[in-house]
Amino acid sequence: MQRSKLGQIGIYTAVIVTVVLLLFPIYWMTITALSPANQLRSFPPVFFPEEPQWGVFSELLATQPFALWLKNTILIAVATMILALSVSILAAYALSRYRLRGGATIGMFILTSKMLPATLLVIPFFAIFKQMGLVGSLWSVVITQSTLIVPFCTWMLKGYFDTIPEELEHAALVDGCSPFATIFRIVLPVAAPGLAATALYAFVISWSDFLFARTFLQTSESQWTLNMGIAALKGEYITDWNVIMAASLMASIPILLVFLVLERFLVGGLASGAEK
Amino acid sequence: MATVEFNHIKKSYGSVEAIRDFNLSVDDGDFCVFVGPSGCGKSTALKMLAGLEATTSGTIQIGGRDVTELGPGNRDIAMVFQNYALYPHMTVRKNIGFGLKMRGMPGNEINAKVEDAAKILELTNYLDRKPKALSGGQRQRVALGRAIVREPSAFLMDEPLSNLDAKLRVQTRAEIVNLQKRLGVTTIYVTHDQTEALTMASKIVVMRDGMIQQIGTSHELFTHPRNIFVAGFIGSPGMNFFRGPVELDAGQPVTRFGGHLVRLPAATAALAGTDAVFGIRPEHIQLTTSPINVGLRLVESLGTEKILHFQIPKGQSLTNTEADFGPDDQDRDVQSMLIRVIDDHIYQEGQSVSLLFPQDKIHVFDPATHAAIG
Amino acid sequence: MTHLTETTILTKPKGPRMIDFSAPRHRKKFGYLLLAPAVILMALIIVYPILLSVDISFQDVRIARVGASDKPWTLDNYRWLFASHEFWRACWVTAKMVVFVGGTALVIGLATALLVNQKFKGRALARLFVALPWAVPEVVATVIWAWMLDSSFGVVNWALLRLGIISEAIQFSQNSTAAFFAVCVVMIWKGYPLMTIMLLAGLQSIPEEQYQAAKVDGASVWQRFWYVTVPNLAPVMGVTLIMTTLWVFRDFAIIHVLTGGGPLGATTTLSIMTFEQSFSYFRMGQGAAVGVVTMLICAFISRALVSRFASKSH
Repeated sequence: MQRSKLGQIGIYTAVIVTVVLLLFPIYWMTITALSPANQLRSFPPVFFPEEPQWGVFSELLATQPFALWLKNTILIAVATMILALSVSILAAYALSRYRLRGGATIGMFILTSKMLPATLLVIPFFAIFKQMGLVGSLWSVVITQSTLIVPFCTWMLKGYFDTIPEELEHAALVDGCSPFATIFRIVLPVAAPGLAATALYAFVISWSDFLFARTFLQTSESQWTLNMGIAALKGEYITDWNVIMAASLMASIPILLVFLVLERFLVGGLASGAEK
Repeated sequence: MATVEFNHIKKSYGSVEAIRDFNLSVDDGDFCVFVGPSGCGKSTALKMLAGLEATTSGTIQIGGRDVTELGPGNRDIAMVFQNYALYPHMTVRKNIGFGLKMRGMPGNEINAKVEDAAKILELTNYLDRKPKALSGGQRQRVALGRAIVREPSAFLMDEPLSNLDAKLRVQTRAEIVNLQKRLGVTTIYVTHDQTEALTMASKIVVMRDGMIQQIGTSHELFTHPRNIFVAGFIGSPGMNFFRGPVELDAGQPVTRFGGHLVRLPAATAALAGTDAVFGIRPEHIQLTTSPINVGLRLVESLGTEKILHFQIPKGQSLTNTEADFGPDDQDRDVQSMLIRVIDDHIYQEGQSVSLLFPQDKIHVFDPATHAAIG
Repeated sequence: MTHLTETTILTKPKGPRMIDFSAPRHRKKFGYLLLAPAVILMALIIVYPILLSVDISFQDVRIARVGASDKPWTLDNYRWLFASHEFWRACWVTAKMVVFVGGTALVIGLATALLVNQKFKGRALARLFVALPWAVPEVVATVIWAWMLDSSFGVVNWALLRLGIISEAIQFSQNSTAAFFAVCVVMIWKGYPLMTIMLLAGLQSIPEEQYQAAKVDGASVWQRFWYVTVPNLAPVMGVTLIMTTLWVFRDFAIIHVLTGGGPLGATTTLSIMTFEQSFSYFRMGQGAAVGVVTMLICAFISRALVSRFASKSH
């Protein structure tokens, strides 16, 4: 289809305006982090700071246990990802390949568990963890996050497994591969992109969690996560927005990098999950 | 190498019976083809033989060994799939050698065997490519290579040619037959294409609705179909049918085709006074001077070969359900009969021709049971 | 060949009654075995906690415990709930928020999806950019907007003043209406990318022939949008709307960090109320009652919408 030059220019203008407007908050976070504190109290605001101030990051690292928050966040995300994947790979494969009694019910359950109000779930979990002495432990967050992440990963992986022709596994069985080995030698390598997307998705959800961490880790400061730290900074440094934005920026960079890698898989994965 | 035996095999999904009392014995070295319209149960039968589907009852033996309860890997079989099912993340070499590796063969032995197989199939230059970088025909050969390298008791092939284009299909058909003759491995081959079945098989099993209709060589199926279904299914185009009365004319059995007498095989005399279904193959109808004159409704020309369509006299055609040869044959028109001629004449639609049904080429079927008579 | 046959027979595990899961009759058992860990885990971390929370909602407890001296069941919490002004206000706030956020995010998401579905150079990059806010953690998104909406030095107030839309800076933390819309803006910014991603996938699955056929029939751009795009996209829009609705229902981080539910409950949704009752006032029985009612509302909404869109798409 041939489009007029004017139309082309129109589209570019629209795209640029849209992207600028939608991404302005991210830009503003970056700019603020790099601005000197006094400049933030100037009206009109400065949109292009002349001298980026890098000192704020070292100040943040020196005055706040930022590294500790980062470590806790990563530990939780990695543990959740491993737990969720190891369970959901097997379940998703079973749901995709075997017409099991109760399989449909479990599928429905997984779908509907997305709509559970998480604030309701934390109440019984609080009671359970209190009993088990897990309040204040990172495990409490790993377990509660799994309530969201296991169903999601299972559903997403099932979608990927459904696209793999069953004959591949039949061929492997005929070749003498055991059903269990077939999953690891054939199915997972073939589903690698989907597996990666699912793993990263689990990572993103875990990294973004605030509710579970806030509920179970609030009283033990050594276990705080990045999101808790930033929320606390907002209360503490009421006007030092450059410090808060610097922390936000550092907390976002890992996840934005993950997102850049993941995006092309994600569009397909999320959409296939939504169509069903 | 081994014999293959199905004994009273049944398969049902809930209350639906997919296979009913399937009995078959395939000799060592046979090339046995299961053929039938889609949904006839031929693939299910093959999958049960492979151990990919459980049987509901009955036993399966390969080389005299009861394999009914064994997994696919323990049956000493190799299988070629319709979509080839090559492992996309492995090179051709790894694909072909995977079965040997799973059986614990040392790496250098595997490699030697893979190279041998590749030589036979002319894949040597492609061994280190991934399947994605191969053409359809090459992928098909890799699938064959994966099967022959294992030196199994039996090859199982599930429509292995249906993803190839027409020309390559004919060529590969011959290659598979030659390969099978050379290796002498018992082969069970599933297809919906009766031409494939007729050209490749030493033994054909025609199936419909989960039941074996007839077992035989291509010649037997062609000349002595056991029922209307087999007669209509085998041949391209399949047999023509019309219904009519059996009468005696001077002691000789005859029927009527639009009022004209048609002589029937002598053995039919016993049926006098009843109705029957008569069949004649399109290539057996002769265009000579005869009292039977028909107008051509349609002329399909394939060069020297021509298919001429004419209408069956009123009240003598079969119903759609009687002449049901499966979903692959939907466009068949029960009101028409076909003539297959190879000559240099030019036929026009609307033209009138006179024809003869040679007495010894007429098949007679029971209208109720559809079984062949005589 | 015979050699191979023998080795396969010999190497076959004839061990102490090991089930061969590759055998056709046992293959299904293998499926159940694979499913078992997930089923057990979900029973432990989803089903049991839900049952427990229902149990708690029927008890007059401040701090819930497991097992230890279960109190007798009572309807007190629910009686309190339906009589309390806060609960009905939370319902109203939640409803307003769902409608406003869902509607606006759908419009922005659809517009963005239509835009980046056009053919132009750098389209992949544009798609990446418009989806970016999805990855920003909610807390981070919230503090960024908190700064942008700052009453003294926020860039939003500056822009609005500059454009002459307002004459004096809006106090987002003190004005109920402003606080409500502030929360909505953050939610929309976080929520529209998912809409865009899914609608884009939906747009890509519409066969090009339909547009060409409509064009041949002389349909204008608007008619094509209305008669080809919208009906094709309706199921996806339905699903995305449900997802966004439930997300707004469940959200905790944005409201908690931005306004804490205030001022004067203007941004207290059912979700925030559940949390506050349970962990600010430590009245977990009442908190659980709010949560259980919320869960039922969510179940009802998704049920109704799912069946509606499912019937529409056929």
